Amino acid sequence: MSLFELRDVRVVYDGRVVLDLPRLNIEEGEAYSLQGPNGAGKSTLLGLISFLNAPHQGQVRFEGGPVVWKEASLRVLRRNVGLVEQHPVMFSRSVRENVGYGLAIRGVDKARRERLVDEALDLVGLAHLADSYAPRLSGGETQRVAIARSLASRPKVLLLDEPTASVDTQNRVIIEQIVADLRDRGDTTIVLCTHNRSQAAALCPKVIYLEDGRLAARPLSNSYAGQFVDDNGQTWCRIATGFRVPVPQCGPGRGRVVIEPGAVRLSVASAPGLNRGILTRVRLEGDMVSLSIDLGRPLHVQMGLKEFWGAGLEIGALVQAEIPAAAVECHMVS
Amino acid sequence: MFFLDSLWAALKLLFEFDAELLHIVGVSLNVSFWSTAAACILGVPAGFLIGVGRFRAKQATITFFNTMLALPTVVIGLLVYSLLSRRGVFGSLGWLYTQKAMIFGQIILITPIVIAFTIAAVGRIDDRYRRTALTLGASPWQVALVVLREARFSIMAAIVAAFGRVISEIGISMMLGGNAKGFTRTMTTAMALEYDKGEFVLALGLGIVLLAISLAVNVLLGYAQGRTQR
Repeated sequence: MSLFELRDVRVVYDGRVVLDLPRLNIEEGEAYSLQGPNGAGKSTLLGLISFLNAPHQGQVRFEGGPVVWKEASLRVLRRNVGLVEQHPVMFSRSVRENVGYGLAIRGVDKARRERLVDEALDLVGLAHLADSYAPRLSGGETQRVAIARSLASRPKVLLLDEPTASVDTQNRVIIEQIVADLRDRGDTTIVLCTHNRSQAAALCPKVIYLEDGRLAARPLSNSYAGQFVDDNGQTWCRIATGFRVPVPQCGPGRGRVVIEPGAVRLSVASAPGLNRGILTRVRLEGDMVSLSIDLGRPLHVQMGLKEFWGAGLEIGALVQAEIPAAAVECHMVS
Repeated sequence: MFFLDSLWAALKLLFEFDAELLHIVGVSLNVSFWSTAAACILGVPAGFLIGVGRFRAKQATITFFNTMLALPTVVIGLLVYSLLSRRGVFGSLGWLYTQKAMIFGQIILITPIVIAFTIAAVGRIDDRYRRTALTLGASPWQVALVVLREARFSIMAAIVAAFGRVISEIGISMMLGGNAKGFTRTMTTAMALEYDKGEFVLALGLGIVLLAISLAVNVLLGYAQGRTQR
């Protein structure tokens, strides 16, 4: 069943169409990644399906019923949605009071509220901080408490706007695990806005890809047809001259490989060689950097901003792409 | 030496709980408390609505209240006098030269302070608080409470400033209260009178009390902030 149905929806700011969706359905219990370059309309879409901003045109249906963009009916609808912003704010109260806020305004009695708050804090692994002053938490803890705050009210949809963009690795792993657990439970629809393609692929089976405010087919990056050959006791897929990747799980023959952009490591090379080529494009996407390397066929790579700066990469430089077997998915063509 | 002698005599008055001094302090606190309370009741909601509202004349309204901050007390005194004097519109109330008249005038003086500072306080609150409360299912009233709560220390500071303004003003108290001993004599009007008489002891004693009250109010505000941000 479709939780959200958007038909001919347009959002216009200053005469510019920032969202133009002839048709978009979001199914109940599914996990979606919301992707696209900066300015593609992702935040506008999140604002729309969190019932914060009305479209200028078109119809939005929630659970089969049309959304009436009037405050009284929106308040009821908003209680079905949890929105975790990229930089969430904590009310100047304790963590427990923050997490229990949504329940308190719904009139949930104190005993039940305490129980639900404890459950939500357990879920994000922060039960020990229940009585701390929330605005003093670190960025990662704030993000996790914000998730707990949204989940405590048991929303039907959880919208996460780049929840790991500004947190350290430890908190990122924990947040990803929370999202994975929610996805596996299947009782909450998840829309995860992220620039991290690896994260999106790992957490969300479905993709909403936006470009210039419109739904677009996600660019099929790093999908290649090639010849699988044995060499020195290992199977390789030869994609182009000087471009080959290990495919230990496939046998010799023809096939197709998909290389995970986030799993490729780049370093500056001194001379041409295997899997070495010119860096032709660099694009900033949120806190991630997308790069293209010409290996005879374009190879797309994605890495964190810090890693990019650390690698000393520049457009036009000769770079070495290290492609581990784990980054390669192979399919034999029968 | 003269100053030290006066200071010593003033401290003696304070520690002996001089009846006249205590009465003057009581009148000051009473008038200041009620005018500040009324200004808060009027000014905080008005400032909040102007601060969060979106309407065409918003900037002009803010400019108006900012301008009102510079309103001289004697102008307010004259205006309210003209209203409360026997021939005035509200002359029949018989409020002139009473504490009610002083409170009325002081409300006009400090309500713009509370409004202007509340507008500024609310305007500084990050819009994410409003959005977060909305997405958690809050009604407009509950959202307003969230924003007010987040702005509470700035609003409290506005109230403290307003209280400080009325307890230390002299023009309105003198023109509308008349400095009647035992009725409308406040700390500031008494200090002016004692100064005119060349009697510095009581004036200095009252000055010390005035500063002590101001200090106590600010210490209380700081304590409240510290407790909340434990």
